[in-house]
Amino acid sequence: MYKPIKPISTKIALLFMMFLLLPSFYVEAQEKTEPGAVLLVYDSLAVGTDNEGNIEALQRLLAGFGVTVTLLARDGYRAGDMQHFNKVIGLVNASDMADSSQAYTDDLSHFAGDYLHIGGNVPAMVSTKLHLNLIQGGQDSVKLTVRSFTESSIRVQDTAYIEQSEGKAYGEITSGSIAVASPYGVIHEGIAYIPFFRSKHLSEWAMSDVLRDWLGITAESQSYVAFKDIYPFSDLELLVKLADRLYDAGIPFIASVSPVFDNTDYPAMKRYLETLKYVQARNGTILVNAPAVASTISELDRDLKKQMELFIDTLADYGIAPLGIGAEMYWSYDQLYVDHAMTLFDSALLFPNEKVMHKARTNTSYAFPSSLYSVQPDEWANYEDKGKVIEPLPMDTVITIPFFTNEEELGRGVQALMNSWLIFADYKAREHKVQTANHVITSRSGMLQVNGESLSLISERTSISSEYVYAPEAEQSFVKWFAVQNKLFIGIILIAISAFTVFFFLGSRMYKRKYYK
Amino acid sequence: MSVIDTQNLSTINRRWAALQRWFSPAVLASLGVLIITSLALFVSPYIGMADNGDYFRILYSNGLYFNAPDYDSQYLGHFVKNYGIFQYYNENGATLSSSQSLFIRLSIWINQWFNSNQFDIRIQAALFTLLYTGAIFLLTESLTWKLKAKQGYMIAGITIFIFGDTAYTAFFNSFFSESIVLISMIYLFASVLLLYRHRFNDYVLMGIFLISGLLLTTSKQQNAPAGIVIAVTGILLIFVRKQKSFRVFAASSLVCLFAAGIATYAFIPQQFVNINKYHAMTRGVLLQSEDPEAALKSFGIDQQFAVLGKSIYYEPYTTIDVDSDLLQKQFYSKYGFGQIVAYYAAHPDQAGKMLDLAAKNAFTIRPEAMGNYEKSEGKAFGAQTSFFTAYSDIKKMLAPKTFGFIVIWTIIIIGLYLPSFINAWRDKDRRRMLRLPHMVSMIAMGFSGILVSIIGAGDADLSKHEFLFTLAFDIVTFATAADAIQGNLWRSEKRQPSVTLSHSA
Repeated sequence: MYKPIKPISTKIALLFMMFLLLPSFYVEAQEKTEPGAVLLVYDSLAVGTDNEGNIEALQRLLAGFGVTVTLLARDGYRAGDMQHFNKVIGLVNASDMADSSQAYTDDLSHFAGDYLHIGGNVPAMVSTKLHLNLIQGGQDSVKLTVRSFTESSIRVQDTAYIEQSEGKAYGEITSGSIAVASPYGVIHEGIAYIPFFRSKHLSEWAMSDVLRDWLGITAESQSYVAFKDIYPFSDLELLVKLADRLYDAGIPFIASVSPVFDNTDYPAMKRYLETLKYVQARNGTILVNAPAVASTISELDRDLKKQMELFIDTLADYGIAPLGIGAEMYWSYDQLYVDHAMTLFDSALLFPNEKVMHKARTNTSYAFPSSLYSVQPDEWANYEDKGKVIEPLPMDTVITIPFFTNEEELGRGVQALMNSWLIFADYKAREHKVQTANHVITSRSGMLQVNGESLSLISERTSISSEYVYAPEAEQSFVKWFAVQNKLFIGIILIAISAFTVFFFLGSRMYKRKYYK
Repeated sequence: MSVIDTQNLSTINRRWAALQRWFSPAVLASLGVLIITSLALFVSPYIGMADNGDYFRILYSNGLYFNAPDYDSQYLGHFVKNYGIFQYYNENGATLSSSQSLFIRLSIWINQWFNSNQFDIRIQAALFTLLYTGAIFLLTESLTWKLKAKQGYMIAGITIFIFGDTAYTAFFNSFFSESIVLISMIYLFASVLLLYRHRFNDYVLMGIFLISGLLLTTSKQQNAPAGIVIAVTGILLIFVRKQKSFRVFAASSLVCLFAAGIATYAFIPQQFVNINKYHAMTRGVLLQSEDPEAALKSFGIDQQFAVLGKSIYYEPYTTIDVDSDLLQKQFYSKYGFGQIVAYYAAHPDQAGKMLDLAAKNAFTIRPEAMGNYEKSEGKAFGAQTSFFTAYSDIKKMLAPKTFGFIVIWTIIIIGLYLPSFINAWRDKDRRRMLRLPHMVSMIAMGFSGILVSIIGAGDADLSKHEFLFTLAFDIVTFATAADAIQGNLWRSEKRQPSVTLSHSA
């Protein structure tokens, strides 16, 4: 029978619907501010020079801003490639090299979108729009100042200094060869210029300031601390101590834990899970680290997606909610790793590349809705800091620390974090989602849910016994029959031996009677 | 009988005599193997072995490099015949740790007469084929000398059937040391059997024995025990002749082989690479253990490493990089060859299970993992040839794959040769005593192959690691069959010059 909805219930229903729709509005709003795709064109990898690694550093910075990057060497540029983008970055590492792509130069001269030029051979379009007046330097040593940080004695070669320009200036370069300080970068109406860019230098941070404005990003950024290199055979007691110390110090942290694809029912694995559950209860967030890629060739047909899902499911079944993936950056430029592992997560922590093992390399990166820019702890120490409170970098940043090997290291590491002026945010306070065929794991405002059910965070550990049947005994059939058969044979053999003894005795007697008479 | 029939008969007899004169069984067998091998290796489609990842070390240390742009995609699947020759300083260091390097260097030297930039592996294959033809000649000669013609040709036919099999000869078109093991083992066996039969010059045969023994022992680290086995079981060789010069030569050869075995063994700790060490634990000790955590503790390793149990080194995605510092410090550094031997000695039940596991792969000549064809042939990835592989296929299919069978086979062989040995012992004929210890030597080398495989790498890659056994099994079984055809398995040798083939001693 039809029952009309009461006005009060209608109001509640409408309120409920609004509440349901709120996240989608929020997501839409977020999508609008997404910087979109960027084409990054470089002339040389700069192998063996001071600039080596700057392309990767730029890729990581852009990933930190959640940008999809398409990487192209200038040699591989085809006329019209630029048309698909409204933001292009041109990186020149070898200004003495002849222009290897007329198509690129031609397209750039007519390009109407935003353009950022890094390095020498500044295009006329950039010089004109920025009203650039450059001083060409030779071999030099410069000092770079960004916000409250300073790095001295940076060796540069053939760098142009901005003497005069129009637009917003960023950072400051001082050198003996120029009379006044020159800006590190400048932006005017979507056109930007940066004279040099190095990886693992303060120029990475200076670049991040320029990129943020050039990409038009306005969201607040936060800092996190993460520990990686956590394995089932790491010192698990040390991991517990780390969790306790950080919990006591009020520092939320991320643990990027190595996945296990086999023997997930072994006691050793249970101890690993028990420890991770404890870490989660002590304000730690669990991320699944990408597995080590042992070889790009293998006769073994392994399905990475199934393996990753197995580990995520194992964690979820044990009451652990992994909220993202920790991987070297090249993973996001590989179609196989993206399709089979990264798409299970909507959040990532991208480490610098250590050992690149591509399987299906692509030029275009996979951009995550939430991606953290990883910084090594020693990088902070390299720069002279004038201020007291360190401002967070313009993108979400994570200080990544390899898990400690002993208590002394742990003590020093935790103390350094407590002494630092950085304010570390709780990763699970943001929205994250991990989805497998069996589980949907989410976090929202610090609440962890698996398949819609909230996880209880109890910081108790259960001791795992070593007793386990590793090799189950094969099922035996006809046990009774064989037991009877055995007894029968034993009987027959005993009778045969007795008969043989009797015959032997009789035979020897007959022999003796016959020949020894 | 008509005149025409008589003429026909005499023509047949003449041809038969000519065949015997120009094509003795040994010549026929070696020619047969040469033709089949040449057809397989040097006529398109060329047959070879795909790289399983092991080529890198031996190639780069000998001044060669992978120059195929798509080399990575051909691992395990396709045979690659061309490699680049370093034109500049080789930073990988030129090491001569294996006798295989000698052949590679010689092949490169010959190759450079034709092309100084690119190495064609078929040059090496040609070198091996020639050496192999010589080995087959000596082997057949050692079994057919002074034998009735029909029996001799029957044995020659069996020789071609077994040793012409492309599962064996495909190794020549590869950088696997199995090709050297194959050739040197046959030379070694033939040289002693020829000494036993007093065929050819004893000094020359002793020289062949020494050289082939040294090449075999030093061809790969796994063969270190072979040198010791050959030296110990070859003691009777010293007493074959009474001349002091021969005895000194023989004794010093045996000392040399023993020393080569020890020296090769001494290299094992450095060469016992992570890949084998990993498998020795995860696919060996932990594989059959009822309590892996306790087993790990007995080696002083953290019990948590039990999660690595049964895993293999080649897994594409792993919890930890198998060559990482953490595994180096906390896992690999905790055990070696000796500790694993001691573990199996203390756990004979586990050792027994491993031996049974080993027996399952002990009769495979050609590892299934590696393809035989070049990529350009358009064959499927990992496709293997079926050209002249009847013997290896039958062997793999029919051999009872249990360790019990291997033990019974050993007892039968020793039992068959024991009476003739005892007779020779009674007659104090040292030369006639050579045969049994030599058979025991081959069997012992085969066993060493199995044991070293299990201890050194668990059950991983068994079919490739047990090559020494499968070859020893073939040689010994073949020689026993040949002796059975001759009818002198347990009888003492009778020399019957009047009914033998006409080629002279």
